[in-house]
Amino acid sequence: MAAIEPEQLSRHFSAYGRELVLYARQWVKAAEAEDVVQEVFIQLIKQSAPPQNVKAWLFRAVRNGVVSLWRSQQRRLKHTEKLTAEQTGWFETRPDDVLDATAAQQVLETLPAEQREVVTLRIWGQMTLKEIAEVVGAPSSTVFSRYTAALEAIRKKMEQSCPKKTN
Amino acid sequence: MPEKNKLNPIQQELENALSSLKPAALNLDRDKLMFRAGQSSARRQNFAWPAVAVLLAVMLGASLLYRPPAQTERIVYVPQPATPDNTYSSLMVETERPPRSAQYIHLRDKILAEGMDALPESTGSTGENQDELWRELDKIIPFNSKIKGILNQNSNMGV
Repeated sequence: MAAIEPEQLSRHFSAYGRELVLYARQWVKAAEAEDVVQEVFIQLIKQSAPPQNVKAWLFRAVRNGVVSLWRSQQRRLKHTEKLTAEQTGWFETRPDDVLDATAAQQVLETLPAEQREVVTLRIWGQMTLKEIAEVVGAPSSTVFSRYTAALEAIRKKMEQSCPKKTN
Repeated sequence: MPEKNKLNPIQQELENALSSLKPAALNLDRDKLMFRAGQSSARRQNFAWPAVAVLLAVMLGASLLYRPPAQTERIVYVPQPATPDNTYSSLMVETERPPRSAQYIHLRDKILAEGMDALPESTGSTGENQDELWRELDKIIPFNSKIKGILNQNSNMGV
């Protein structure tokens, strides 16, 4: 008998699927990110005992998988052309958004990887600083300083390139 | 959340604005994922029984290979050593017998070995002694009365 029942797996997929793919896309393209996320869910159902914190386990497993994939890609692409830009955005574009989704993505892409990772986990992963610290393997204080630095950088860049929408 | 309190209002506002953005829809097929997850789960569950079967087969094979040799009961005939000459006499000694006088035993053995000729001739012994001797002989020789008759007849005839 599996530790995670299919119904639970489905619930976790609905709850964290998008966020996990968004997190994975910090390193790899959408299709690869989805493959990694799918493998992580399959790994989850193979677990003999359910993880204490399923959400943290999922994000950590995605990070491990995607970083490994990213490193192998970096080696492969060392002397070849850079991958063409992806067509699909990180966020859904909705008319009532406070921020422009495309502009927000562009700003996020300019952030250092460790800051962008913390912002993704905190805002869209809805994780606490302690949980983020466990996933990224850094102290909570470091995570918080990265987070505030990232917010500050986003604010400055957004003010320059993407002014707040007015009704 | 305690860490939220550390953000200044501008950062807090930016955080809320970013939270309003929704991650892009997945191209992942949920049904396909659930099917693959079910396959993986079933494969893992079915592994237990083959493992148990293989383990038992190995144990059976090992027990057949290393079983101790069967213990069969064998009857061995050992030739009996030659009986020493004194065996009979020793057996005779061990058997229970009524206490008799050494004279009687000596006479009996002599008669058994040599026959009636071993009987002592009358040497003027008293009639009581002779009668006693005959009584002793009666105990071991059933036809003693016949012998006695023959002997009396011989003595009367002057043999």
